[in-house]
Amino acid sequence: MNINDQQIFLMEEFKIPFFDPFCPEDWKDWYHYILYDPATKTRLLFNLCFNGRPKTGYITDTLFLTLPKGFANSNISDPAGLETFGFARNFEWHPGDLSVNPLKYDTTEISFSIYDKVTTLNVANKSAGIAFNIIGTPVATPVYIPELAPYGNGFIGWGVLPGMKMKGDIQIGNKKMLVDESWYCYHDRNFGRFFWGNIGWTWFVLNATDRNQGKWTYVLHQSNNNDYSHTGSPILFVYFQHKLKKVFLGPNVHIDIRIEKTDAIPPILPGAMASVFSDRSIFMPKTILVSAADGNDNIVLKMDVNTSSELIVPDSLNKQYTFLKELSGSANTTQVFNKKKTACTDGFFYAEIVH
Amino acid sequence: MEISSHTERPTVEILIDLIQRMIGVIRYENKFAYALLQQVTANKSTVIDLDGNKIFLQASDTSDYIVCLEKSEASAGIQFTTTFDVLQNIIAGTTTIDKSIADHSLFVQAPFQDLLNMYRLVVCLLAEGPLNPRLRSLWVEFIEKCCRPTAGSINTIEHQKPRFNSLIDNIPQSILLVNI
Repeated sequence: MNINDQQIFLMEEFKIPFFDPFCPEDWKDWYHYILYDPATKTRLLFNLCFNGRPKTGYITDTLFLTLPKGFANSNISDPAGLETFGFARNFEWHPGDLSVNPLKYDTTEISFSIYDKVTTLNVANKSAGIAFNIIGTPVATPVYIPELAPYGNGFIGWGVLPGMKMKGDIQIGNKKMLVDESWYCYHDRNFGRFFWGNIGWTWFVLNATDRNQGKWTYVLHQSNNNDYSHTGSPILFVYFQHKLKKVFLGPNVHIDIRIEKTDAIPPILPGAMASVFSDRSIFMPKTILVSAADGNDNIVLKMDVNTSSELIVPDSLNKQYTFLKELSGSANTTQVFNKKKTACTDGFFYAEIVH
Repeated sequence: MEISSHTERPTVEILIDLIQRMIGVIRYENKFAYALLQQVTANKSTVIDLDGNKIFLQASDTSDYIVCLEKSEASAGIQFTTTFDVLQNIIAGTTTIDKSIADHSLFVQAPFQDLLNMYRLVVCLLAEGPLNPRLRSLWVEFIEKCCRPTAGSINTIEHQKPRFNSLIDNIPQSILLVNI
């Protein structure tokens, strides 16, 4: 087993000590996947989150599927416009649904496993008319940070795999699209002990290709508290051809989030929260600008938001909420490494602004 | 994993049982929501229509609070009417309570203060629902016994918000720009 394989194993290992009958209820562990098709701009985000422990805990799955407008319901679609379908569900965590070593989670509508670096994920929501089935393996350098940031009396850890080779299919209604190796796939993990409502971060993944067919991927994370009075040190990973090329840290990274001039009510999941917060109008991000430089190399990233929605996660114990702005859109990059300048247009990004 | 499902239409008795069990869960697991339920419904009665199933509800006073439910044959005086699909769409996030009222897929009629109080109660139950395993279980049972498979168009989440501009949107721009 090489170092990358060790890191992938540590990263994918299920973290909640749920065999302990006294396992604390504030444990959380989730697996996060993003699929993007450069040809149609279709993008899918899926998150599977385990909360607490069996019997008393629960499992949440969340899906956002953005497609060319009209594709799902007719034979004519507008590639210049996009529309988003999605759902967020809570399930009981029954003993026996989840096994580890190897990781396997099986219920009526979700089948998820990771074995010998092969990830298999089959998800269906009959009532929403959405399903997808994918199988794949990692291709990018993994990064594993066991304790990324402290939160309250707890912590959150992070594992990143910003490149996976996936194949499969996505179904919506009576339409089906195939996922193949031309699609970009991002995967990460978060785990830790914390309460929703007391946590926040800024995160994005950006994937773009330069005119020499060089593939660039940028992944950023910066922790923050609810009102942004405290922020952590930003970390920006730079990947080229799926290999980790550079890490920019701290004061070398500048993040500028420009917001819309008018407020609006974004689409909200889960549905119950959409009704609870139906009168809450907010200013959504419009553009994200990131620059990083360390005297040798520098990069400039410009991300224009063209889909935005909000995920509102309640905490069962403290009756408070975390608001996750889910953003995606197009991206341009300029990067100078070893005095060689390249640029990417028509890139893609997915971001979360969380408080 | 493929999409397929089949459900049968429910009876009034199943709905009455689900509502009574929901009240029982709130009574023992959320004192705030139960107190609000008592405050909002005490000494009141109503008839609701859920997908053609009419139910009469009557609540006693707060000192000895009891909610009685029975099948109703009323054809008038129904204060709440909607379908199972609309309720499912609200929880699924493809519509909201506001939009359902605005597009007439959910009808509600009562004195204004009663409407506000009932809305507060419903929002409280929606906030509590995802986190309470017994309420989640009741919702799953309702879906399994009442809701039909998705038919026709799949709904986007962008359309969950109501649009209130239909009147002004239908006025020609040239009229709107008239300087009075």
